[in-house]
Amino acid sequence: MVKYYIFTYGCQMNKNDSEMISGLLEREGWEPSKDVKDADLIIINTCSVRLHAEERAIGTISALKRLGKRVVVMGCIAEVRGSELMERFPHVQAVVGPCHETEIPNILQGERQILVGDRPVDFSKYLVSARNKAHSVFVSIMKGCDDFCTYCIVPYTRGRVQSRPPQSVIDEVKAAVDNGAVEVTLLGQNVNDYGKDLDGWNFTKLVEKVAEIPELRRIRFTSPHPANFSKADIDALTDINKVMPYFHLPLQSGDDEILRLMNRKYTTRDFAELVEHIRTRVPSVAIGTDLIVAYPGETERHFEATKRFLESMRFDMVYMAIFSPRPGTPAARMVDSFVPEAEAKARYDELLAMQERISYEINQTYVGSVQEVLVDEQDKKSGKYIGRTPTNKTVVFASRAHIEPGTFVSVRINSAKSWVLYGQTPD
Amino acid sequence: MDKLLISILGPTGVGKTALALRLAELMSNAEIISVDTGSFYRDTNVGTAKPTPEERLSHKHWFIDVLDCHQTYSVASFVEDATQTIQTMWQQGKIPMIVAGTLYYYYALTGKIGYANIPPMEPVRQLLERELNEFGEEYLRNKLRNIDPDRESAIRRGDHKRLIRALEIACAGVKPSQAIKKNDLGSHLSIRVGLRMPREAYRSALRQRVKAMLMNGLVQEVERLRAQGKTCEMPCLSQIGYKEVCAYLDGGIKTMEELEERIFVRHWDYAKRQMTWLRKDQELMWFEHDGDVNAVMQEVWVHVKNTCGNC
Repeated sequence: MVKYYIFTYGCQMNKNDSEMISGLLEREGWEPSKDVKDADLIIINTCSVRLHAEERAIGTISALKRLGKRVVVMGCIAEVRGSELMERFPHVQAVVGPCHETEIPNILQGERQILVGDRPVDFSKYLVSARNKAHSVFVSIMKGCDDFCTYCIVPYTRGRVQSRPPQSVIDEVKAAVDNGAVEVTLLGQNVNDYGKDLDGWNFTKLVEKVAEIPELRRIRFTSPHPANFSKADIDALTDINKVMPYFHLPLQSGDDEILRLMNRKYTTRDFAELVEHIRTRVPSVAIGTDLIVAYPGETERHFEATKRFLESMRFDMVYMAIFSPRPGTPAARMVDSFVPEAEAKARYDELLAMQERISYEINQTYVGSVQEVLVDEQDKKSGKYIGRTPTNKTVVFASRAHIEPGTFVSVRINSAKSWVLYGQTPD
Repeated sequence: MDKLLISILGPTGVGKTALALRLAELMSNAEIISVDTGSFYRDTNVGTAKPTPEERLSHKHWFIDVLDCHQTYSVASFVEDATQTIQTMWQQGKIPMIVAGTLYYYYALTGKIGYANIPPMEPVRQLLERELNEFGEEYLRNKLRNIDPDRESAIRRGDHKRLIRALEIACAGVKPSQAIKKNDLGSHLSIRVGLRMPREAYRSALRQRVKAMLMNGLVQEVERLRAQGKTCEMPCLSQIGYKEVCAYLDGGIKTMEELEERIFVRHWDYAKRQMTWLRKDQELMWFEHDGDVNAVMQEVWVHVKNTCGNC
């Protein structure tokens, strides 16, 4: 029996792809190995979104040489640096781009191979993923991205949008639900583009279909693109009661000029209107966002605008990253207007401190309330449970009775910090 | 046998201990050398995040619980003792795995920076401290300037620790600027792992850790130690976290909330200083994790095997 080990770098998308590949390999009779040392094949699932992750993946590929193990490279690096890797590392058996990953079980025999380029993905192979967390699963609904934001490498590494056939998505969610899943997160680079290459389908219709699966309780998705997330979409989605009141809406900058430079195709005003609309429809909703700090050309004035906008939007959660140039993207060429590192860090710290305060203030409104919490795990050291509210807030709580992960419980919130709520079961 | 030295470095609470323990499980002949002044003290447990007694049974740990509350371990004595330990391990065919949070000690041990090879002399030190209190910094500076102007000018204003140390060395009859020694472990192969987390995840992990320390009875531990006659002026209770608890017990810090915040800020500042050391270290191989220490450990193991095939 072949034993495999997967190193996964980067985003949730990559983690999900690794689970998909695990499912695929296990159906072929392969066995996951706990330790690299016992594996016959090592899969490196790479990421190009941050330079450091890319260098680290290559470092690991290089270091595997002396172990005498065969290596398959998949993920973002495959498209851009595939042939280079094949040349440099004789122990790399294959380099497999995102549209070809379902072929991994077949490429171990015979010649070394390089499978890259855009082509129709064989979505039927996606059916069964090997899940780490059975009660809450991530399901890919599409590949690629057509948006070409100037800082982002994804359109180059993952190709154009290809929607996974709706039946394939629904079958995978059903299979996961049969296996105990109560929560699903639908994944795509820009979920609003779902269905543009399919007849008669769009994202909201897909969510409606997924919501029909009886035992499924919670539906989440990430990420919509503010530029083509319409009010009609929001109306339709918020009408589905399984769609959770947490929307992740990537802002990236709170300054219109920077947004234009980023090719984001919306203004802060458009964005604010969208959020306003969501909040009118679902008053208790939580809104999260992504933000790039110190994009090339971001001056003190732009930064101040972002700060003001962030203050006025009052997001529940902001995932911040300092701009990191990705070779091959337009933004990486704007070397002359890079913000100095110290300045970038100071801005990051300032925004983080501000957001910590805002999140703290918002979270105080939860104190005293009773929340329906989906339990994710039990902390081994303290014995406390960790779960999430419908608004996706992390809750740490104590309970006298033992609770299995995947159970819904009522938790009374006693106190709150910026990123976590604390409570107890009211027994 | 190659004289292999594995070092695991990183800011406080990033998961170094967990990484080292799992790595040691995969390598039958590794022993862990803890370079962490907090773990030196037998009396302080809750606020120091030492490996648990069970963890210490599964793999030999060195330099944990070696000091009483009132004692200190000078960098010179530590470097001498740790060097001896490492040499012995190599002779026995073992692999020393250093887990270091106290980076001044670590870099002195590995010869990156020099240190004064003069043991501390408590009476001299007490005298100098009294002089500092009575006559002020300038008085001691004048004293040092007469003996060793180079050293005096290298010490930052307000850095009383180094000022006193320099005069202490001078009292031993050595010019402080010439007492600096660089250690040589004589390692042939070195793997240096830097462990870190994404900033936000790290911040919240550190907050969690501080919260856990308080929930696990940090305040009660200090109360117990004081009841046993230890005082907050003793080195073991001057550590990060302990000093704040002392202030809380003595009324300087009013609420538990404030205490938690103050301890967190101390840890965060400490982590920043550690990162300043580590960023300067060009030979460090960085690994980032967002909670999954096992995956990082597998990766580190691959690099270890690549450097040293037979270990």
